[in-house]
Amino acid sequence: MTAPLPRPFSRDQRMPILHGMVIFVLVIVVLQLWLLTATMNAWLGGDDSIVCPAAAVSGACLALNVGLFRYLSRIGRTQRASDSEARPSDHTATNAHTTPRARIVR
Amino acid sequence: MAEENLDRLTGSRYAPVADREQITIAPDYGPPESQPAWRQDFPIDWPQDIYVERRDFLKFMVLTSAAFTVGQIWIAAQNWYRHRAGSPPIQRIASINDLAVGGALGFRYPDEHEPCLLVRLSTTEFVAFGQKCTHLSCAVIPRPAESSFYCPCHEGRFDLRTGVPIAGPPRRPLTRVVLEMRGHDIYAVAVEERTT
Repeated sequence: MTAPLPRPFSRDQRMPILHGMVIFVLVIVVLQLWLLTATMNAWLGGDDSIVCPAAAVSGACLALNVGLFRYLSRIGRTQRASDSEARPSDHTATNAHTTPRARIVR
Repeated sequence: MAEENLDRLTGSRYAPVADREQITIAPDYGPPESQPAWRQDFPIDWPQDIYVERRDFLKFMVLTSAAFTVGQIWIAAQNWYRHRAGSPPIQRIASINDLAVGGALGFRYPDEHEPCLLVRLSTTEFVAFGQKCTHLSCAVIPRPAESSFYCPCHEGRFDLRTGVPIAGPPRRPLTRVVLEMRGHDIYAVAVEERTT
Protein backbone atom coordinates (compact mmCIF):
# COMPACT_ATOMS: atom_id res chain seq x y z
CA MET A 1 0.00 0.00 0.00
CA THR A 2 1.41 3.39 -0.98
CA ALA A 3 1.24 6.26 1.48
CA PRO A 4 -1.20 9.05 0.52
CA LEU A 5 0.17 12.28 -0.88
CA PRO A 6 0.72 14.98 1.76
CA ARG A 7 -1.20 17.58 -0.26
CA PRO A 8 -4.23 16.46 -2.28
CA PHE A 9 -4.79 17.70 -5.82
CA SER A 10 -7.97 19.60 -6.57
CA ARG A 11 -10.25 18.50 -9.41
CA ASP A 12 -8.90 21.30 -11.60
CA GLN A 13 -5.41 19.96 -11.04
CA ARG A 14 -6.27 16.30 -11.48
CA MET A 15 -7.91 16.67 -14.88
CA PRO A 16 -4.77 17.88 -16.74
CA ILE A 17 -2.75 15.19 -14.97
CA LEU A 18 -5.22 12.58 -16.21
CA HIS A 19 -5.16 13.97 -19.76
CA GLY A 20 -1.37 13.92 -19.80
CA MET A 21 -1.36 10.33 -18.62
CA VAL A 22 -3.92 9.27 -21.23
CA ILE A 23 -1.81 10.75 -24.05
CA PHE A 24 1.38 9.23 -22.68
CA VAL A 25 -0.15 5.77 -22.24
CA LEU A 26 -1.71 5.93 -25.72
CA VAL A 27 1.69 6.61 -27.28
CA ILE A 28 3.24 3.73 -25.36
CA VAL A 29 0.44 1.33 -26.35
CA VAL A 30 0.85 2.24 -30.03
CA LEU A 31 4.58 1.64 -29.66
CA GLN A 32 3.87 -1.76 -28.12
CA LEU A 33 1.53 -2.66 -30.97
CA TRP A 34 4.22 -1.81 -33.51
CA LEU A 35 6.77 -3.78 -31.50
CA LEU A 36 4.51 -6.84 -31.38
CA THR A 37 3.83 -6.86 -35.13
CA ALA A 38 7.49 -6.28 -35.99
CA THR A 39 8.59 -9.05 -33.63
CA MET A 40 5.99 -11.46 -34.97
CA ASN A 41 7.03 -10.72 -38.56
CA ALA A 42 10.71 -11.21 -37.78
CA TRP A 43 10.12 -14.39 -35.79
CA LEU A 44 7.95 -15.96 -38.48
CA GLY A 45 10.74 -15.11 -40.92
CA GLY A 46 13.24 -17.07 -38.82
CA ASP A 47 14.94 -14.09 -37.15
CA ASP A 48 14.72 -14.73 -33.41
CA SER A 49 17.42 -12.29 -32.30
CA ILE A 50 14.93 -9.59 -31.30
CA VAL A 51 12.41 -11.80 -29.51
CA CYS A 52 13.84 -11.47 -25.99
CA PRO A 53 14.78 -7.75 -26.19
CA ALA A 54 11.32 -6.94 -27.56
CA ALA A 55 9.64 -8.87 -24.75
CA ALA A 56 11.78 -7.01 -22.19
CA VAL A 57 10.95 -3.61 -23.69
CA SER A 58 7.25 -4.47 -23.83
CA GLY A 59 7.37 -5.54 -20.18
CA ALA A 60 9.05 -2.25 -19.27
CA CYS A 61 6.32 -0.32 -21.12
CA LEU A 62 3.68 -2.26 -19.20
CA ALA A 63 5.42 -1.52 -15.90
CA LEU A 64 5.45 2.19 -16.78
CA ASN A 65 1.74 2.15 -17.65
CA VAL A 66 0.82 0.28 -14.47
CA GLY A 67 2.93 2.71 -12.46
CA LEU A 68 1.11 5.70 -13.96
CA PHE A 69 -2.26 4.12 -13.30
CA ARG A 70 -1.34 3.35 -9.70
CA TYR A 71 -0.23 6.96 -9.24
CA LEU A 72 -3.63 8.09 -10.54
CA SER A 73 -5.39 5.78 -8.09
CA ARG A 74 -3.22 7.22 -5.33
CA ILE A 75 -4.31 10.75 -6.25
CA GLY A 76 -7.98 9.72 -6.16
CA ARG A 77 -7.56 7.96 -2.82
CA THR A 78 -5.93 11.04 -1.34
CA GLN A 79 -8.75 13.22 -2.64
CA ARG A 80 -11.42 11.01 -1.07
CA ALA A 81 -9.58 10.98 2.25
CA SER A 82 -9.31 14.76 2.12
CA ASP A 83 -13.06 15.10 1.39
CA SER A 84 -14.05 12.98 4.36
CA GLU A 85 -11.75 14.94 6.67
CA ALA A 86 -13.09 18.28 5.46
CA ARG A 87 -16.79 17.39 5.90
CA PRO A 88 -17.17 15.34 9.09
CA SER A 89 -20.59 16.90 9.83
CA ASP A 90 -22.02 15.45 6.60
CA HIS A 91 -21.36 11.97 7.89
CA THR A 92 -22.63 12.57 11.39
CA ALA A 93 -25.74 14.63 10.67
CA THR A 94 -27.20 12.58 7.85
CA ASN A 95 -26.76 9.26 6.19
CA ALA A 96 -23.67 9.58 4.01
CA HIS A 97 -25.03 7.16 1.42
CA THR A 98 -28.15 9.21 0.74
CA THR A 99 -26.48 12.62 0.71
CA PRO A 100 -25.59 13.61 -2.82
CA ARG A 101 -22.00 14.80 -3.04
CA ALA A 102 -22.83 17.22 -5.82
CA ARG A 103 -25.34 20.04 -5.64
CA ILE A 104 -26.65 22.81 -7.82
CA VAL A 105 -25.17 26.23 -7.14
CA ARG A 106 -27.83 28.70 -6.17
CA MET B 1 -16.09 29.90 -23.43
CA ALA B 2 -16.68 26.93 -21.14
CA GLU B 3 -14.16 28.29 -18.66
CA GLU B 4 -15.93 31.66 -18.64
CA ASN B 5 -19.27 30.02 -17.92
CA LEU B 6 -17.68 27.98 -15.18
CA ASP B 7 -16.24 31.16 -13.67
CA ARG B 8 -19.64 32.79 -13.83
CA LEU B 9 -21.13 29.92 -11.82
CA THR B 10 -18.40 29.47 -9.26
CA GLY B 11 -16.32 32.61 -9.32
CA SER B 12 -12.83 32.69 -10.72
CA ARG B 13 -10.17 30.21 -9.76
CA TYR B 14 -8.48 32.86 -7.60
CA ALA B 15 -11.66 34.37 -6.10
CA PRO B 16 -14.18 31.53 -5.78
CA VAL B 17 -17.71 32.20 -4.58
CA ALA B 18 -18.60 28.49 -4.53
CA ASP B 19 -16.66 25.28 -4.11
CA ARG B 20 -15.70 24.15 -7.60
CA GLU B 21 -15.17 20.63 -6.27
CA GLN B 22 -18.73 20.23 -5.06
CA ILE B 23 -21.03 21.68 -7.69
CA THR B 24 -22.97 20.11 -10.46
CA ILE B 25 -22.60 21.96 -13.71
CA ALA B 26 -25.22 21.53 -16.41
CA PRO B 27 -23.97 20.30 -19.82
CA ASP B 28 -24.78 23.70 -21.38
CA TYR B 29 -23.05 25.57 -18.53
CA GLY B 30 -26.29 27.51 -18.03
CA PRO B 31 -27.34 28.95 -14.64
CA PRO B 32 -29.33 26.68 -12.32
CA GLU B 33 -32.49 28.78 -12.76
CA SER B 34 -32.61 27.96 -16.47
CA GLN B 35 -32.32 24.21 -15.90
CA PRO B 36 -35.37 21.92 -15.78
CA ALA B 37 -36.67 20.88 -12.39
CA TRP B 38 -35.63 17.27 -12.79
CA ARG B 39 -32.01 18.32 -13.12
CA GLN B 40 -32.22 20.20 -9.86
CA ASP B 41 -33.76 17.16 -8.18
CA PHE B 42 -31.31 14.69 -9.66
CA PRO B 43 -28.05 16.54 -10.09
CA ILE B 44 -25.24 14.91 -12.02
CA ASP B 45 -21.68 15.83 -11.30
CA TRP B 46 -20.52 16.18 -14.89
CA PRO B 47 -16.85 17.03 -14.28
CA GLN B 48 -16.58 14.03 -12.00
CA ASP B 49 -18.38 11.92 -14.60
CA ILE B 50 -15.87 12.95 -17.27
CA TYR B 51 -13.00 12.28 -14.92
CA VAL B 52 -14.21 8.76 -14.12
CA GLU B 53 -14.89 8.06 -17.80
CA ARG B 54 -11.33 8.98 -18.80
CA ARG B 55 -9.84 7.14 -15.87
CA ASP B 56 -11.68 4.01 -17.02
CA PHE B 57 -10.37 4.57 -20.54
CA LEU B 58 -6.86 4.75 -19.09
CA LYS B 59 -7.51 1.48 -17.26
CA PHE B 60 -8.60 -0.13 -20.53
CA MET B 61 -5.43 1.08 -22.25
CA VAL B 62 -3.30 -0.38 -19.45
CA LEU B 63 -5.09 -3.72 -19.94
CA THR B 64 -4.39 -3.47 -23.69
CA SER B 65 -0.75 -2.86 -22.87
CA ALA B 66 -0.79 -5.99 -20.70
CA ALA B 67 -2.31 -7.99 -23.58
CA PHE B 68 0.50 -6.88 -25.92
CA THR B 69 3.08 -7.90 -23.33
CA VAL B 70 1.43 -11.31 -23.01
CA GLY B 71 1.69 -11.60 -26.81
CA GLN B 72 5.42 -10.88 -26.64
CA ILE B 73 5.87 -13.48 -23.93
CA TRP B 74 3.92 -15.98 -26.02
CA ILE B 75 6.30 -15.40 -28.97
CA ALA B 76 9.29 -15.86 -26.65
CA ALA B 77 7.79 -19.12 -25.35
CA GLN B 78 7.18 -20.38 -28.88
CA ASN B 79 10.74 -19.43 -29.78
CA TRP B 80 12.05 -21.40 -26.81
CA TYR B 81 9.93 -24.38 -27.87
CA ARG B 82 11.27 -24.14 -31.43
CA HIS B 83 14.87 -24.16 -30.19
CA ARG B 84 14.11 -27.04 -27.87
CA ALA B 85 12.73 -29.11 -30.73
CA GLY B 86 16.13 -28.89 -32.45
CA SER B 87 16.91 -29.57 -36.09
CA PRO B 88 14.28 -31.41 -38.14
CA PRO B 89 15.01 -35.02 -39.11
CA ILE B 90 16.26 -36.02 -42.57
CA GLN B 91 13.38 -37.42 -44.56
CA ARG B 92 13.21 -39.11 -47.96
CA ILE B 93 10.66 -37.41 -50.19
CA ALA B 94 10.72 -39.22 -53.51
CA SER B 95 12.85 -40.73 -56.24
CA ILE B 96 13.94 -38.58 -59.17
CA ASN B 97 11.94 -40.74 -61.53
CA ASP B 98 8.72 -40.17 -59.54
CA LEU B 99 8.41 -36.64 -60.86
CA ALA B 100 8.23 -35.36 -64.43
CA VAL B 101 9.69 -31.98 -65.40
CA GLY B 102 7.14 -29.29 -64.45
CA GLY B 103 5.43 -31.66 -62.04
CA ALA B 104 4.82 -31.19 -58.31
CA LEU B 105 4.55 -33.57 -55.41
CA GLY B 106 3.04 -32.91 -51.99
CA PHE B 107 4.70 -34.12 -48.81
CA ARG B 108 4.78 -33.22 -45.13
CA TYR B 109 7.90 -31.94 -43.43
CA PRO B 110 9.18 -31.63 -40.73
CA ASP B 111 5.96 -32.95 -39.15
CA GLU B 112 2.45 -33.95 -40.14
CA HIS B 113 1.14 -30.39 -39.73
CA GLU B 114 3.44 -28.79 -42.32
CA PRO B 115 2.41 -29.52 -45.91
CA CYS B 116 5.14 -28.87 -48.52
CA LEU B 117 5.53 -29.06 -52.28
CA LEU B 118 8.40 -30.52 -54.28
CA VAL B 119 8.62 -29.12 -57.81
CA ARG B 120 10.85 -30.32 -60.62
CA LEU B 121 12.02 -27.29 -62.61
CA SER B 122 14.22 -29.14 -65.10
CA THR B 123 15.85 -32.53 -65.45
CA THR B 124 18.41 -31.60 -62.80
CA GLU B 125 16.72 -28.87 -60.74
CA PHE B 126 14.35 -29.48 -57.84
CA VAL B 127 12.92 -27.01 -55.34
CA ALA B 128 10.69 -27.50 -52.32
CA PHE B 129 8.69 -24.98 -50.32
CA GLY B 130 6.15 -24.97 -47.54
CA GLN B 131 2.64 -24.91 -48.93
CA LYS B 132 1.26 -22.37 -46.42
CA CYS B 133 0.90 -18.89 -47.84
CA THR B 134 2.78 -16.39 -45.64
CA HIS B 135 -0.24 -14.09 -45.66
CA LEU B 136 -2.95 -16.18 -43.97
CA SER B 137 -1.70 -19.77 -44.36
CA CYS B 138 -3.94 -20.81 -47.26
CA ALA B 139 -2.52 -23.64 -49.38
CA VAL B 140 -0.63 -22.36 -52.42
CA ILE B 141 -0.99 -24.10 -55.79
CA PRO B 142 2.02 -24.64 -58.09
CA ARG B 143 1.64 -23.24 -61.58
CA PRO B 144 4.81 -24.21 -63.45
CA ALA B 145 3.47 -22.82 -66.74
CA GLU B 146 3.34 -19.35 -65.12
CA SER B 147 6.51 -20.02 -63.11
CA SER B 148 4.69 -19.22 -59.87
CA PHE B 149 2.87 -20.52 -56.82
CA TYR B 150 -0.65 -19.14 -56.67
CA CYS B 151 -2.67 -18.50 -53.52
CA PRO B 152 -6.38 -18.55 -54.37
CA CYS B 153 -7.51 -16.88 -51.14
CA HIS B 154 -6.24 -13.36 -51.88
CA GLU B 155 -4.61 -13.67 -55.31
CA GLY B 156 -1.11 -13.93 -53.90
CA ARG B 157 1.74 -15.15 -56.09
CA PHE B 158 5.24 -16.44 -55.32
CA ASP B 159 8.13 -17.08 -57.64
CA LEU B 160 8.37 -20.80 -58.43
CA ARG B 161 12.16 -20.88 -58.30
CA THR B 162 12.82 -18.78 -55.18
CA GLY B 163 9.49 -18.64 -53.30
CA VAL B 164 9.72 -14.84 -53.10
CA PRO B 165 6.36 -13.00 -53.17
CA ILE B 166 5.74 -11.27 -56.51
CA ALA B 167 2.09 -10.21 -56.26
CA GLY B 168 -0.77 -9.85 -53.81
CA PRO B 169 -0.74 -9.30 -50.04
CA PRO B 170 2.06 -11.72 -48.93
CA ARG B 171 5.25 -9.95 -47.78
CA ARG B 172 7.44 -12.85 -46.67
CA PRO B 173 8.78 -15.64 -48.92
CA LEU B 174 7.53 -19.20 -48.63
CA THR B 175 9.36 -21.43 -46.17
CA ARG B 176 12.15 -23.16 -48.12
CA VAL B 177 12.86 -26.84 -47.63
CA VAL B 178 16.56 -27.61 -48.11
CA LEU B 179 16.98 -30.64 -50.40
CA GLU B 180 19.77 -33.14 -50.80
CA MET B 181 20.26 -35.69 -53.57
CA ARG B 182 21.46 -39.12 -52.53
CA GLY B 183 21.75 -41.37 -55.54
CA HIS B 184 18.36 -41.28 -57.22
CA ASP B 185 16.53 -40.17 -54.09
CA ILE B 186 15.63 -36.70 -52.91
CA TYR B 187 15.81 -35.94 -49.19
CA ALA B 188 14.57 -33.01 -47.14
CA VAL B 189 17.27 -32.08 -44.65
CA ALA B 190 16.29 -28.68 -43.20
CA VAL B 191 13.74 -25.88 -43.17
CA GLU B 192 14.70 -22.29 -43.88
CA GLU B 193 12.46 -19.43 -42.73
CA ARG B 194 13.17 -16.12 -44.45
CA THR B 195 12.12 -12.50 -44.09
CA THR B 196 13.27 -11.38 -47.55
